[in-house]
Amino acid sequence: MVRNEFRQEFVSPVSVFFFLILPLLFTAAVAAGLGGLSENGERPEEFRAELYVESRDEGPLVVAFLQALQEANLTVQVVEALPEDTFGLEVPADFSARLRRGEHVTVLLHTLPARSASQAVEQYVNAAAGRLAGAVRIAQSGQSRAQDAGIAVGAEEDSAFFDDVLRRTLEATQNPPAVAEVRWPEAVELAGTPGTGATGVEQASAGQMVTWVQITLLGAAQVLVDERERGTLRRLLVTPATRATILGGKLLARMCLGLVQIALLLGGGALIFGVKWGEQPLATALVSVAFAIATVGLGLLIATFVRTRGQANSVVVGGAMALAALGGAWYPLEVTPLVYRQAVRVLPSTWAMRAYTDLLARGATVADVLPYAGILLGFGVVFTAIGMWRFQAYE
Amino acid sequence: MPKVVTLALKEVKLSVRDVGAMVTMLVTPLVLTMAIAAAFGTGTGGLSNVPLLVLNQDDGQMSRFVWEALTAQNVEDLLAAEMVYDEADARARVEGDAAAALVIIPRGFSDRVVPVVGRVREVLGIDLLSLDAESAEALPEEVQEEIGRLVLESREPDADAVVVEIYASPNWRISAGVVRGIVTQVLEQMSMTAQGTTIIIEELIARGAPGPEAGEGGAEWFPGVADGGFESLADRELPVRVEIVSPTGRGFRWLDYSATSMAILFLMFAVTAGGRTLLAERQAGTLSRLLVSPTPAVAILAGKMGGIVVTGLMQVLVLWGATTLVGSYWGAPLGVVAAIVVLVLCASGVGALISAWAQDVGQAGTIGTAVTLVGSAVSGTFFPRWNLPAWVQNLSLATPNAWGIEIFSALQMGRGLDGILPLLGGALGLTILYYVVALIGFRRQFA
Repeated sequence: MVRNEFRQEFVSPVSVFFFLILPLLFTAAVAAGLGGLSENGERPEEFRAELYVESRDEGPLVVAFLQALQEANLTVQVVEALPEDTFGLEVPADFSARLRRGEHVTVLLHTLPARSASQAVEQYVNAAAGRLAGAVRIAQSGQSRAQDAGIAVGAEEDSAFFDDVLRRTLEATQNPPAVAEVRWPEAVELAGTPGTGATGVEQASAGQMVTWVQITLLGAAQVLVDERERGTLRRLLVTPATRATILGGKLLARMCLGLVQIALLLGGGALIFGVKWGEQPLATALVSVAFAIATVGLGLLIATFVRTRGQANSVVVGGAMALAALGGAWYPLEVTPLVYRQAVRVLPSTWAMRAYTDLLARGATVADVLPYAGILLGFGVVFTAIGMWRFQAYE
Repeated sequence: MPKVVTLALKEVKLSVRDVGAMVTMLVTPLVLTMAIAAAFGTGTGGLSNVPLLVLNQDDGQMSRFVWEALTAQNVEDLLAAEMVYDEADARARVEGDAAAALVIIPRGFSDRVVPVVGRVREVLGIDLLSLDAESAEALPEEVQEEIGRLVLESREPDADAVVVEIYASPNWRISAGVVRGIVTQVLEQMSMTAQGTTIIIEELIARGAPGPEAGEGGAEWFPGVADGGFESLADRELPVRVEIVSPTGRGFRWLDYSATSMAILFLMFAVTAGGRTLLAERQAGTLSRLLVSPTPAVAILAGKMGGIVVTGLMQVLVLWGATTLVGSYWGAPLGVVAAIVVLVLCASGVGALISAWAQDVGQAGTIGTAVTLVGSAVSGTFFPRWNLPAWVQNLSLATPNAWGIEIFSALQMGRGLDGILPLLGGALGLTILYYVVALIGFRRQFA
């Protein structure tokens, strides 16, 4: 049965495209989209955004602000008028004058709502504005002291005092007395710095593998429905082979297909994208087998609900994509609300993703992934048991 | 009723009655959009309630400003900070993923950040941070002089920076970066306030103010710097404010982006599946029967494609309405309607192309699925397409997916119908190209 399933699956060379090439293409595209792979190998944390600045004020405070923007990962271009479809900053003409007078000033940041970089640009501009504003407060305070002490008399001296304190305060921030540093647990080696994380390729490799392997494994439903539609399942069921043998053989074949696909995608991920899949082979194998058992069980269950091959196709592809998206295969679950993170624990894809990302991020051992494997096997037992029970009334 | 309309209506009826087609056309994109809405919300999305531990080993007074920054009103939805006292237990919680990160404020933190506070307390027994300007001025002159001397003396510009460790779980990397950003910001403000005080005193002395030796300067300057020194570092209003403006007043929202990109993806699935019906008719022999009827071949073709276009329009309009109900924004209605019409025509061109050149239903199905999936991957259906390398972005303009994302993004940015006309023109050009190549194939088939 297993041999027969493999033969049927690969009867057309196009199957290889869906089985291996398309998942790898998606891995590359998603990794690039998440920022892990880009044209010049730039990592997300090195991301510099281009910011156009329209300013009619050329005073030292604007110069200091532009400098702070440059230091905050922005490539600044001063222009007469902000171009369309770009990130732009409008600095009012009285920027310096108002700050010197101790007044508050507002700068307008024109964002591009549909660009994901907009959040980073807002963060950078806020950081630069915060730095300048902090230094301005110090300079204002110093200026007031100087006036009280009768030192800075006259507009020119007053202004020079302000500028000197401002400049020196901004310079002092280059050598801070305290810094914040992110450190990871001992076994963890991360290529990137935190913030946007080194998650691009890793997230894409694990996530796309879970997505595409689910399509293959849930495909057990398509196989069973197809056999039923063609009448071959009825023929098999009247042979001396037991119902368990027939179902077991079908499911085992699908599981083997899924495991072969996992192995190929792990290999592809490691060889093409440099993802460290090979460090804990036993733990990876354990997670993969448990994931395959859970998902094939779900495929059996789906087969008992759908009527036609067309329905099975739609439910398998749509279901695999939805399960993958909900389970954190498309985006890291840490960006989702707490209630969402708790709710998706009822899905096998969530636990598979947690196990695979733990293998990559922490170098998890067999002992570490045992709980995940146990939960996945639990899903497998429940899905298969209900599927078998419903299968009694299937024909 | 014209034959074309009859044929088109038949196609629509067949699609609507097919449960599998409905799952692909409506249920799956809606489920995915709902999943994204649940994950990212209808706001700008992102992190919330990040479980954070804070361990304070410092015995000075400055560490409380870090705690205040991590529990300030402006981050109360973002971080769920908890003060802890057992380092080993806290580290274990991070390692076990029960917490995203542990912020460790080390011993000697206050003395390094603002050494003068510790020195003044040590030498004079005075708590500088609790002084306001009035009580500072009331201090005896010799005490003020001593404080001024200690301010200048306690500078340590070349000393190593003290490290506030953020011990983070690798499964919470984005959160770790955010926490680092917040801590860095408060450290920077703290450092500025402390170093700025010294700089002011130095500048005043350099300009002829009597220095500490002359009995001036020091205590009354220190607490008064920056409107209350270190108080309310976390939430005080700074003099430079950044106001975000966008044409629609909206930031980037995954929900908006995904609702439209998913709609285009599943439109592509639907139209490529629809295109297969012509081949199915041929395989079943019903196409030959149609062709020998008085109905011209062009009418048959137009009816078939018309049915696909109408089905596609209904699909995307339903998705527009349904996703709008969960909070997604597609753009100004007139522009959205025009975009939907053009994109459905463009996508139907892909369906026509495949059914014109494929050998049989199976091959058309395989090619249709492959084209749809490859098109979605290179166009940025699952992530912002502007993150892709420029050459991939350009290459993807051969697909309706890419044009769709560009058009809807422009609409979501606030452009109206006139603002998207060039993009609609591009998509229409592609549509014409698809149909011209498809017609060559159909001529061959019908011949």
